[in-house]
Amino acid sequence: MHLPRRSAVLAVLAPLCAVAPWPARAEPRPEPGVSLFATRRVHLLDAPLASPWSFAGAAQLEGGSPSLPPRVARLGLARALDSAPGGEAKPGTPPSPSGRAAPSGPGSIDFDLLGPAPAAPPVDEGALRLRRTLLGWHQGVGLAMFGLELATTVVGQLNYDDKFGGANTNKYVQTHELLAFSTLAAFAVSGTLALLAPAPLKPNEGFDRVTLHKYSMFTATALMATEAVLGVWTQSREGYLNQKGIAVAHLAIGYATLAAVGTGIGALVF
Amino acid sequence: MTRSLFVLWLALALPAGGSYRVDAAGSRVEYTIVHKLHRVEGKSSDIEGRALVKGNGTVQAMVRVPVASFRSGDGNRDEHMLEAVEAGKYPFVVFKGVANLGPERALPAGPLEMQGEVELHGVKRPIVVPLSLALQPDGSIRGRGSFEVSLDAHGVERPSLLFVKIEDHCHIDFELTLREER
Repeated sequence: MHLPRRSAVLAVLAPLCAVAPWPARAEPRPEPGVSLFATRRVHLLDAPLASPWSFAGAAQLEGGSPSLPPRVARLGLARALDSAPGGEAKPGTPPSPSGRAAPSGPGSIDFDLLGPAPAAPPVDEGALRLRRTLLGWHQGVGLAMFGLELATTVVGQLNYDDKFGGANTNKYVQTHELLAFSTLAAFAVSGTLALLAPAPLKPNEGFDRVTLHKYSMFTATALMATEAVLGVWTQSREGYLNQKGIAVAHLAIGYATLAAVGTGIGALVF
Repeated sequence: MTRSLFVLWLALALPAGGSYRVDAAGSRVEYTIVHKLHRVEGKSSDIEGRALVKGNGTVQAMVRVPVASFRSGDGNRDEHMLEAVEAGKYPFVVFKGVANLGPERALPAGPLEMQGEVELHGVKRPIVVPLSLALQPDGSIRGRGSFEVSLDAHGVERPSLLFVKIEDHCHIDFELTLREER
């Protein structure tokens, strides 16, 4: 049969169209610097393979022409796209890295071999959300507190050297006090946030990273309280012979507190 | 020799209409997620699964695991993961797949490609899982495989530590013991 030239060209192009990548819908041009994966594409190879001629046959049944006019090619594409996977994904999500076509027909996955799911243990979503919010703040305030504590310890060492090994100018006293009270306040806020966080799930059995974090922080709390008392006492012993001894204890406990806090943070971070 | 091979073939061929259940005690599913500072593995043996072998060699399989059953060795992190996958709304991760053993229904020597979908966080994504199957001396079948899922593709808001999010890909490893149902 002699085909008109236009129909002959379309007959050649239609199979090529049927394997070409084709956007699922009008595809916005990606912004510069935006990954191509940000735009969802559907490839026809993702759909169960079907010959474009079968689409032509289907079109013929619907009154179309076997010579594959553009309408038929479009019908073929539309059918392939309708059966493309990913229809249940949330919009705007990229395809699964290893994702390929879900089988259909005799190999369909439309089955349920296990029956209704058993009742899952209830999870208090609200409590989980509140916990995450409070622990997020706990993490932020805790890291800030660690920075303040580090600065307090460094300035405290400088203050000790100035007072007992240098010119005794007292130039670090005010800075050390300011940093020390800020550290104490941040420690109290951070600890309170952690204690207020609800624990809606059964905790892990055994010793884990969080257990180490908690033990370290309880130790740091005791040391920090001692540290505060020793700091005030050291200052009150100005002019007395035992001031240096108390200051050494204050210094040593300051380093121990820093180590305990460091261990507590390191338990979660590393 | 031919007879021995035939006996071996009979031993490796699965019965038509055979139904297999996952033996949770001898099975595990494990996920691995990666953070800049950590590589985290969470395991679960609380697995429900079943496979059906049809007369034409088609195998249908379904596996269901409660997300709350995964343990990573850090209770706080497990709670964080449950919040990320909204365990209250979507309590299970489900895999469904089909494969074809051919009309002989013989266990393949190499990996068997199972096509299906994985449902996580209420979002289903198509996936192909290479599955290694081996007949055990006790008559059970050992199935092993691994695949990756994209947390973003499943709409999971990735958890973060020190304000840095975990990587998008989540590697799943599984080892299942299947016993024939009588």
